[in-house]
Amino acid sequence: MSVVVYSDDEELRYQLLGGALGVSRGEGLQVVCVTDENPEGCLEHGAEVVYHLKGEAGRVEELVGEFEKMAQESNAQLILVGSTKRGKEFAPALAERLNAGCLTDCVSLEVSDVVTVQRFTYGGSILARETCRGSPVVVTIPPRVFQAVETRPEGGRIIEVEVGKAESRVRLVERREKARGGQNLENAEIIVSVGRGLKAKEDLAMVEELAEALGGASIGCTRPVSADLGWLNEWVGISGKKVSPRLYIACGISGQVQHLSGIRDSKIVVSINKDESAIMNKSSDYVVVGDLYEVVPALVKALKAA
Amino acid sequence: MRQVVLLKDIPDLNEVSGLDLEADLRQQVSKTRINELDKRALEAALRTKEKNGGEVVVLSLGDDKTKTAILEALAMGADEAYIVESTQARRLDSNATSKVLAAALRKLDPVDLVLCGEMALDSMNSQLGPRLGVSLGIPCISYVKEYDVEGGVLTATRDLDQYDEVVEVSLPAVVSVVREINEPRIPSLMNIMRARKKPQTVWSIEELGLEISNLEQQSRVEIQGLERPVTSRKQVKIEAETIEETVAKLVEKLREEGVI
Repeated sequence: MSVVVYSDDEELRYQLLGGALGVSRGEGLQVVCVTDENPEGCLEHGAEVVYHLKGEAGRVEELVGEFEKMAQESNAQLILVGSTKRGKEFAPALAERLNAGCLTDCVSLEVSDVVTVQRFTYGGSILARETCRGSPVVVTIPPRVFQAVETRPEGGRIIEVEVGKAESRVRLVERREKARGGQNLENAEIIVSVGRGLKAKEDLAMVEELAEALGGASIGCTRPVSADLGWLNEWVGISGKKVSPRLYIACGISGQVQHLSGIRDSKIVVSINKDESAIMNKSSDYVVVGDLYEVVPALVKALKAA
Repeated sequence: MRQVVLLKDIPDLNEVSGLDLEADLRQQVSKTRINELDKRALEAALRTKEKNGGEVVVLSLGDDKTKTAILEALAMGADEAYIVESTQARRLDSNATSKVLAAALRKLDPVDLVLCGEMALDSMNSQLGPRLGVSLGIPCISYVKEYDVEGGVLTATRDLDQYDEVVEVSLPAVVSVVREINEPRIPSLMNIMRARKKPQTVWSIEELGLEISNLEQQSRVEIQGLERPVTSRKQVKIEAETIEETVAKLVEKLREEGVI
C-alpha cells in the first residue's frame, strides 16, 4: 500500500513528499512519487519509488490514464496532488476515473481508516472538517502546508515510464508569459501589496522600489486594483491568489473579507494605512498609521541604509 | 448550437457570518442565489448564442430553493431550465454529483458545450468541470478567461499560474470559467416578468436512471464540522516622533521576526 505524490511544481512536490513521509510513518505506507522532471530530487526528499514520466505527455488528460495505472500498481491508498491550477484540474479528473472521493485545497491532513482534512469553504470564511472514505482518496494541498524534508530512503528506486503522445482533441496554440504582476504570488516569500490607497498606476514604481529593497519581493494588489483598474494582472484574495508569504506588506488596503482570507496563511502581516480604523489593521501584526506616499519611500531608504 | 450551463445556487456569503454553524446552513437562509462564477458562465453562453445562434439551457441539481434561484438565469436570457430535484442533493459529494449531472447531460443530448464556473463559493470544491469531462468522455478546458466558438471549434484562453495558454478543441467540450471572463448582465424588469413563463422541467434522480442509495454509496466525502477561523494577529502599532524613526522601528521588528 502506498501514498502517491504528484505536483507539477517542484518545490511543492518536495513539500508533499514531506507530508507523505509523516502520514506513511503511522500507517506503514510506501512513499511513491510521480514526476516528469528531476527524479533524483524526489529520492532525496523521501520517495521510495519514483515513476519518471518521459515522453511527450503534457496535458493533464494524457496523464490521467498513466496515473491510474501507477496508482493501481502501487496500491495507492492516498494520492496527494499539489494545488497548482494544473494540479487542481488533474486531481478531480483522476478521482473521477478512479470513482474516488477528492478533497481540494486542504490545509491539514490526518490518515487513519478514513482521511480527515480541514479546508476553507464559504469564500474562506468557514473552516470545514471533512472526511473521505474509500480507497484511494485524492487530496490536493496548497504550498506550505507541509515542509520538505531532506532524507534519502535506502533502496529507493526510479522506474522510467515512457509516455506516448496520447490522442487528444485539444491542441495547444500558444503559451503566453503573463505580464507584470503575473509572477508566482502563491509561492512568493515576501509580497508588497497595494489597494485603493494607491492613487495612480505610475505610483507602482514606488512600490516596486520597496519590493526591490526587500530583495526582490513580489507585488500583489486587491481585486479593484486589478479587475477594475487593470494596473496589475493578478490580485490577492479568495477569487484571486491565495498567498502564504513570510512577510505581507499591505499598502493602502482597507481589508475586505475576501482579501483577508487570501492572506490568512501569511506569517507576518504589516499594514501601512492612513486610516487608523481600517479593518486591515486588525488583521495585521504591525501597523504603521500614515500616508503610504511618505511611509513607503522612508521604508525603502531605511532598508537600503541597513 | 446547444449550450448547457450548470448552475449551483448557494447562500449569500454576506449572510453566512450570522448563521449557526451547528445546523444546516442552507436551511437557515430564506433564499439562495446563483453562484457568481456560474452566472458568468451563463453570461458567456448567452454571448455565444447572440453570435452563433442556438439555445442556452441551464441545469441544476437542487431543491425547492433552486427553483426560485434559477429564475434569475431565465431572466438573464436562458431559454429553458432543468432541475434535478432531490432533498439529498446537497449532501452528495462531487463524485456523486458528477454522476447525476452526467446522466442529466446525456438525457439532454445533443449538447455542444457544457459550461460552469471554476468553483462554487460555498463548498469551494472546484471539481465538477474536470470530473464531467472524464465521465462524458469529452475534453474539459478549465480556468477559461476568454473564448470564441467558430465552425464547431472552440478557441479558449486559459488562465494558469504563470502563463496564459491558448488552446483549440473541437466540440463537444466542457468549459469552466474564471471571474475575469465577463460581467454578467442585470436582467430588465420585463425579462424578470417573462422568466416565470419560460419552461422549467423537474427531473427526479430516478428519472435519470439512478438510485439515491447507490449515489449515497458513491458519495464518500462528509462534512464533520464547521468553524469560524480565528486570525490572531499581534496588532502592534508602530509609533515614533518622525516617519524615519517609525520605519526604523518597523525594520527592527521585522528583523526580530526573522522575516527580512
